[in-house]
Amino acid sequence: MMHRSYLPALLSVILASPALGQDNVTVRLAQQAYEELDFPRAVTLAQQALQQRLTWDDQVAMHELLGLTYGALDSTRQAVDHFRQLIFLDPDREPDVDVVSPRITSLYASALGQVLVVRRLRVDSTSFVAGQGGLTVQFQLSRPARAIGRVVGAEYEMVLDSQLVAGTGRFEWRATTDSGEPVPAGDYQVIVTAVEAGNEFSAPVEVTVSRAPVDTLEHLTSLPGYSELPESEIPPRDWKPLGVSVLYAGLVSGAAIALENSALGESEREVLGVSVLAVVTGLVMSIKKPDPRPVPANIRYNQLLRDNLARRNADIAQENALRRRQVRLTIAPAQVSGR
Amino acid sequence: MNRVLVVAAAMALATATPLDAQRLVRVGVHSLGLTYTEVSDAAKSEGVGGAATLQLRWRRFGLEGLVSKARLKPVNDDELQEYDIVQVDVRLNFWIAPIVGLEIGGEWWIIDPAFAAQEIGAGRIGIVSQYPLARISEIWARAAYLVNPRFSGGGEAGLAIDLGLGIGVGTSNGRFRVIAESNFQRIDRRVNSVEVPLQVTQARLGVAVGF
Repeated sequence: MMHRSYLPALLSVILASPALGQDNVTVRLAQQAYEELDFPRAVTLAQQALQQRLTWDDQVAMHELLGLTYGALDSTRQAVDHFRQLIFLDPDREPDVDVVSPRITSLYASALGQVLVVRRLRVDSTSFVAGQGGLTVQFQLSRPARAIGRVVGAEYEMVLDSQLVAGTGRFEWRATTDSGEPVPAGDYQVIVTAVEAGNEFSAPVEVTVSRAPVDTLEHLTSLPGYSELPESEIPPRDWKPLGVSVLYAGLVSGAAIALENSALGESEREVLGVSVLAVVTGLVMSIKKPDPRPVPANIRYNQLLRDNLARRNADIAQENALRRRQVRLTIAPAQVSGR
Repeated sequence: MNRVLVVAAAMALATATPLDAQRLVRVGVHSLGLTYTEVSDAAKSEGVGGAATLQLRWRRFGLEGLVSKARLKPVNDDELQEYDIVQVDVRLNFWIAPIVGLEIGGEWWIIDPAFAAQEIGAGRIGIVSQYPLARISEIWARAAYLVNPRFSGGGEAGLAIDLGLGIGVGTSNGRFRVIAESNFQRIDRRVNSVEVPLQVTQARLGVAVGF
């Protein structure tokens, strides 16, 4: 429990004091001297440190320390000079306006105006179907200049564009080869070079390209929101068959009885027998469950639905055939472990 | 004659539901019972036999043929010999409405031995009506005037009519049908101004197959 309660405090001390954990002794001493406001000693130690073989982080830290220290000592030229070195090393590093004095901020801005660098070079992760999108590359130039964008990979090099940029610029990489094919998967470097009057500055950003097949669409089995209607219905029971059979049988047998020759005696039993059969059949047809009858409106409606469904599925099949030939590219900034 | 027309018109004006899809060809075999009366009730013959039918239907046209043979025995006189009667009946229909058609044709009776009864040949013009009671059943009726009948014994006919009634029940696809059908014929034959009327009734029961 004790360890847990001290842990946040310990972490805050480490983050607030870059000197702690610093490998280079001279760098650590210079930072200690600066924190103790012993500016002459901090300058001396920082310059000694710069004579040594420093890591990129230490070089940044020492030039920043010297810029801040000279600024505090009113040595404008040296402050601007070290801020320029700082900007060359890390163009995106800026003094925190909430912490440093306006004078320091002004000196930094003065240094920034004297150099040509590419700043805030940024790409965002994106995914698109090859040929139908691209990767947007955003950047800023510290001074108006011509910006040239290039992408370099294994056996691949493409110039994106060359444009005059004042402030913010933008390129788009469609991730295709000269022949229009999507680029192979792998690591690529997007390089923005600023050129102006003999000065040149390049900033790279690593990206990783991965390829995947494009998802195909599923065929529809029904149209959303629509369902087929029954094409037949059971009509209500009616007595029409009986009525019709009585009518037919009655007319024929009645006519036979009426027309028989009385001199020849009664001989219509065959007609009467079939008439009885007809009436019985009509009765059975009336009593039995009625036959389903078609519903023309529903049949036409269902046919329309099926036609639309077939048309939609034909479109989907066409779209899928196209998608099977396509490639989905996903481009993301590479994970950079350190400089 | 007027009564015949009234009967035919009443059938024609019956309900106007269209006929179900019919088979183009239908053949059938039937057993039949026949009663033949000539001159008077005393000269009545009865018998049974068989018949074969053929029906063709194409659009509004229909052709029906029937061949039947029956052996008749005089009812009231055992000394009279039995005889065969062969009937050939051909009808051509034209359906002027879904359930009403006009009918023309002819029929021939052949008697064996000759002169045991009258051999008859006559034309026919009439009307036929067929109505579907359900998908599996239909009823039909017909009335015809026999035109210019000829008899082996000579003479001529005034009134000569033929009435028919039939009922069929079978499968819903129309392929098979059990059929019961009856006919009534009255021919007022006259020979030298002497009335020698004929009356024939028959009933058929059989099966038919459609294609």
